[in-house]
Amino acid sequence: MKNSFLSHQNFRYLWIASALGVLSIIFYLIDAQYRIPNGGTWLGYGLGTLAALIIVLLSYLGIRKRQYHSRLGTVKGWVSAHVYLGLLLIILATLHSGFQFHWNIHLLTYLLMLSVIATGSIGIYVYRKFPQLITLNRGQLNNIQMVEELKKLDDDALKLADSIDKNIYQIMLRSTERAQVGGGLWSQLFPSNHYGKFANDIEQQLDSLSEQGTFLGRLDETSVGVNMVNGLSQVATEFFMVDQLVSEADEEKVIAVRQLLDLIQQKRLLLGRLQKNIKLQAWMEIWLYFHIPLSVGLLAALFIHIFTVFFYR
Amino acid sequence: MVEQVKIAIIGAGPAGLSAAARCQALKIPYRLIDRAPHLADTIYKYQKEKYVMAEPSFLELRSDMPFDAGSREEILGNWDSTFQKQNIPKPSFYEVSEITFQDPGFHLFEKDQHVLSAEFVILALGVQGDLRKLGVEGENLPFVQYQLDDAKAVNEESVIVVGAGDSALENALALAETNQVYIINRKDEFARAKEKNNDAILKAIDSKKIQCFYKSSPMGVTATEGDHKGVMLLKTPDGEVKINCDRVIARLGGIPPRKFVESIGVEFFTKQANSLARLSPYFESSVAGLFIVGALAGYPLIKQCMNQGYETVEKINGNPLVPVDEPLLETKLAAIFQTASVNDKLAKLKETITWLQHLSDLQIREWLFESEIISVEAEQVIYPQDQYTQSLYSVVEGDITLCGSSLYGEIKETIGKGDFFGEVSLISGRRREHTASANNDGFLIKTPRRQFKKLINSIEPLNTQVQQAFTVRLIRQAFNPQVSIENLNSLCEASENIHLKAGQSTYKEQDHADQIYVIRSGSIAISRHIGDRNITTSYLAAGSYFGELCALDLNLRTENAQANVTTDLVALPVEAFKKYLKEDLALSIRLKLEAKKRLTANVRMEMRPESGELVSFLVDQGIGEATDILLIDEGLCVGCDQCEKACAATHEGTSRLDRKAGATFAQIHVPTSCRHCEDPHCMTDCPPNALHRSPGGEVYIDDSCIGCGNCVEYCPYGVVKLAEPVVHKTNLLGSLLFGLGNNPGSAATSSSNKKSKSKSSKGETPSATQKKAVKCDMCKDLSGGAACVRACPTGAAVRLSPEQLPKYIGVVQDKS
Repeated sequence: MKNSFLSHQNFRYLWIASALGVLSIIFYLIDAQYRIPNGGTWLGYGLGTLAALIIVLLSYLGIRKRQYHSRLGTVKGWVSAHVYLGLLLIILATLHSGFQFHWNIHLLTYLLMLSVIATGSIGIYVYRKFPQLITLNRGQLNNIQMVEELKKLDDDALKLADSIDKNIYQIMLRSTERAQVGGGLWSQLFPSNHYGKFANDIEQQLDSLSEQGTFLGRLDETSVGVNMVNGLSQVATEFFMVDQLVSEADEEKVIAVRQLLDLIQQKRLLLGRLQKNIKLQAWMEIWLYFHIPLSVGLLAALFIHIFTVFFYR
Repeated sequence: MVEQVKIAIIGAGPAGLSAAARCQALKIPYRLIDRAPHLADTIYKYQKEKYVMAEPSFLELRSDMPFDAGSREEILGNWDSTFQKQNIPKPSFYEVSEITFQDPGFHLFEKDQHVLSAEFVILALGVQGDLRKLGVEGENLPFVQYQLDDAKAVNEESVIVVGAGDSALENALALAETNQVYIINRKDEFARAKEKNNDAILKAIDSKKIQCFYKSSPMGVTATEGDHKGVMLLKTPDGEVKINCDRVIARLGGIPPRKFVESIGVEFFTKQANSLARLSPYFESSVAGLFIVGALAGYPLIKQCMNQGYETVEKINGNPLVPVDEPLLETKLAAIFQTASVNDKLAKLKETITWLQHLSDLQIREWLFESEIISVEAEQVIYPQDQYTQSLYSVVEGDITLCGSSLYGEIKETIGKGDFFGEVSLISGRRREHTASANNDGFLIKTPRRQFKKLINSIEPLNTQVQQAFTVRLIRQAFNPQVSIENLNSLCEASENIHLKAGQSTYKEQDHADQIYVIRSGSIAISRHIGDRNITTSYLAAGSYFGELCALDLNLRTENAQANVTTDLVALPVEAFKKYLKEDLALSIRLKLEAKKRLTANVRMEMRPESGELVSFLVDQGIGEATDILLIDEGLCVGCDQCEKACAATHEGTSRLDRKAGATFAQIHVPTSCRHCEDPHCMTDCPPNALHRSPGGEVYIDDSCIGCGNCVEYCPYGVVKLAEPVVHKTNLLGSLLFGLGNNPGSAATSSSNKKSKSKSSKGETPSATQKKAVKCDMCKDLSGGAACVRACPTGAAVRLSPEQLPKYIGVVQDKS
């Protein structure tokens, strides 16, 4: 926490923003004793000007962050100011409005500002939380290594499955084709459990097996461990495998089924990790795609807001 | 019939050729003789297209032969054509077997036959000498060779390489690509070889690419018929071994021509094999009329050789001769001493500065070239404390005060006329521990580190003197900076130097303790075995001491001490140290307090083994020798690559750091980026001397880089890379609207390309398309610090010096 953009220079910008916020509330309360607060009073002008300047200043971050030669503070400092002064705007702009809201360009400006701040808040959250989650989730592997590892697991699993049974090979092949990572934006942000579908297939297979009465009875007979099982579908997969196991007399095949169970387990975990990684990374980027266009919209609306106030009053 | 000439020139290398050309120009009867059937044998044997430098650049060429930096082929071609143009007769190609001096001239013999008489002889033999042979039966068989011209021409053979020097290793490594290679080493390690070659050969042996016979020597080679051309009988520690082979390459070094030179009656300085002949300032040896020039006289650089050949002929001809360096020296020495001639000034300098006694007059001249005479005013600061400069200063006039603050208070020392200072940083590679300032107006001579290292490496007595001075100052700095040097002398005399390779251990837990150590250079990790794990409890940099508990009567070691990198130590015997402690009560109290502090710190580290593991990890990543390292806190890094973008934007388009690459441990990521090592590996062997360390500690590469890639190979962290000339980014709008810059998609031109084109037209830099080495320079030319750190939006990227490390580790660990 001590090194982050939130705690920059011992929370310098948090203090500045808080002080400004408290001061403006005090001024507002005093001013409200004498007149009905609105944007046209001297205090209203003052707050509005301050807020407009802050908006322009904060927008400049987009330029400053690309000026790599600039000695005007560090980017971390700019981000820190961006966060706290940005949040301060909620107070400044609300007080500036004097709580007078009507369906017009002014309210549009206000709403745009709030949406910029809202998307920015998501940004603060993901920037502060997700890197750590990604590191923990990723371990020593990066995305590419994970994909390679998955490929290897698939190859091994297919080879094993082939040595066991045609039916199982078909299921494994389908599961390999269906296990999808990445893809479109939606599937990155909300990865669906494709691998679960594979498990469902197996569940159906199991149903037909248990109808034949071969399955449940045998489960009790075997002590082969169903280890580390989370989620019904996985249980189903393994039950199926177990069934294969006990119905097989061939020892080599028994070992192969056991190994295949292991591989499926490994793949499920790794696939989950990879999907989570992609999801977290996607979230870390997606908010900016709203934050920036909304900011541009805000700047335009702000300009019109000021223009109309002074020329069409 | 015996030929009569005025001058016989033996050796047709640069010096001999230049002398011959001068004789031709002055119409002096002469004879040029060489045993190799072509000009300049040493250069002739360089690998193809080797780039030859024209150093030293400040020296003017004084010769009738042309010479400038260029490829081997260009240089040899130029000389051949000059010979033709100036109608210089071809040299006589035979080996002079004997020279006798018979007043007033010399008789030269070829195979015991008197073939030539000359009034003067110029020996320009070089130091290549005769290649040492195997010395066993079969040494002259056709498949036994003593050099390798082109490794690529040898394929799918069984090759035995004999020798453990650099040339043997380089041959073996080059051949191992396409051949079965055996290497025969008389000893059990490759101690003589450069670190780079040593690492490469050990790797090749480990991976079974090359088979090595240690402690072995050939007993004979015999030719055979059949699959292989021959067989070598080998004596190994496990008995005799026979190896089939198609080729034997013996790289056993050369026998310098000293014996031959001595047989003429020339005297040498010392009996040491590398000693030089005693020469007058005009290269005349102790035998009147016999001159020795070039590499044999101690001048390996081509330009120097050529100048000397020219000058010697001029001198013999009786022409008034001012050495080529005279005007340069005159301007250099203008400020000091009120005598007129350069020679007098040099003599006075030798009288004044004590360490110059160890140098010959010629060496002093050369030393002065590379050095700088600086005049100082009273109170002028020569260097401030903590600066990363590494030059050595000698005092010609005036007094210098060294003053610095340390943990134990202020230190002050005066350096008088004739003494030197600054050797601590020069040897250890660490920052200046004093501020040096002048007490009064005076003059100093500043010698660059590289130059001085060369001197101490070649002149043993000078080395001893400097090392002693360094040891005393080191010990004093480590234990009690306020004590006077005299008090420490007996302790220093009892000390010995210890050299450790990376990973080598000084002592282990439970060892008997009888020495205290001070780190001269490198660093030491202190660790303890707890359970089944080795926990690093502290890390000590150069200048620190350890193992001091034995002075407090703890006779068994309670910890392990291991070198992180190549490390030099001074070991002080405990008895001598205890004796000294009796005199220095303050120190003995402080040692006890310090020991207590260290012990509590150790316990703290042991209670948090993860911190210890983090330290071990960072030590593996090179923090042990780093002065500044870039770390990324993965708990904060959002992967925006701002750091790389900023680096590229501020460094001609090529990022010098690779964020994703590199190792991670406990959320701390060490990207591939320069550590600015204390004793930078990259600077080990830079032919144009393009790598420097700035006063702020940044190691950087200047424009004179020739792209040879030595630094890339030497860097153990892979942070130096060769980059193409930089491509200019086209501004799309500018191009679309106004046609500025390149059209998108068209072949880009590069900024450095343009630059070097204009330069190379003046013949200054090598070809424009050549890659050049680039590395992090810590943005030394930008104010406000490194661009990577300044551009990081979340504060994940930080640059740390080893001293800041413990605090940082605490912060990161608290967080997670």
